[in-house]
Amino acid sequence: MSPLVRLTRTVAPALLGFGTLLAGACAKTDKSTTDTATGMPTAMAADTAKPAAAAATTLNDAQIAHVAVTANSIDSAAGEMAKQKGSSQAVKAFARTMITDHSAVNKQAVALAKKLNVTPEDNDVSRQLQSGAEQSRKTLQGLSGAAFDKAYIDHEVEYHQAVLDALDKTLIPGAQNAELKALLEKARLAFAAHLERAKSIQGTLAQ
Amino acid sequence: MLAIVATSCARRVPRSHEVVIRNLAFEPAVLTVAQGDTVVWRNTDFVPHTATAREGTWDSKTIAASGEWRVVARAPGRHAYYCVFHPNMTGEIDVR
Repeated sequence: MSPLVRLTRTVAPALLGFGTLLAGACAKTDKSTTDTATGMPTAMAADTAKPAAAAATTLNDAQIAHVAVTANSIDSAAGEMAKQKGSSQAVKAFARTMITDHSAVNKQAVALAKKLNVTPEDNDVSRQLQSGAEQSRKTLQGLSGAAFDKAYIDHEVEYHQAVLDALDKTLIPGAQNAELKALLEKARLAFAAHLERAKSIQGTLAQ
Repeated sequence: MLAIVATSCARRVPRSHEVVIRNLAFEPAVLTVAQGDTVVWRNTDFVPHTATAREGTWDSKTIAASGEWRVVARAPGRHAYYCVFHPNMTGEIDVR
């Protein structure tokens, strides 16, 4: 099987599933079983079968860079909202970390793209991320106080989990350029720390 | 041998020690220094960090990516510290 075909078969469903997962992040999702092949919830896998067949995209480095920048920008923006609307100190502090960390990683990503003479290229996955983010923003916009805090942190746990899955299953393995791969791997460490922190705040909010 | 040299010197020359911040960790996590020594934190990560003493003795505020911050260790004892942005990152400076 040519590398291109193999990439299409694995990358597209996983990433479109990722986008769909994000779109549903603030909706009530069932804790259903996961598809062991893609790591995506099976409830989602059925939904992604059609989009995957219809738009089987492969992601080149320019597109991977665009996905990375988009994913960072989304969480930075969510952090800005939580910095204003967050009620507990822990949530506000977490929001500040999201802003500084995701902006910092983006600064590196943009600098690397410039250095490599690569223009981040818009693609279906980035578009799905953006539309998912827009849905989340609308939901969070309507909340305040403890309800906002809980919804924001729940969203951050799901979002960071989804980003880590995408990094592990598709973005890092798919990156051709060694420096891009290294940047994604370094970013992964920060995102894993974010997830850990979000989960521990989630635990305290649940009490 | 070192103890003999130390006690026979009228004044010990302060040293500089480095804590490297790498992959969201302080290296070394525990550092022993003498009073009057300097501790330098060097941030090799992409993301900013802080070195903030829990008792409030010192606070680097934001140490930018590729940035550094230093403090002269005056107060003796064990000073636990952490990163305000990533609270699971912890370290200790043991000032003798």
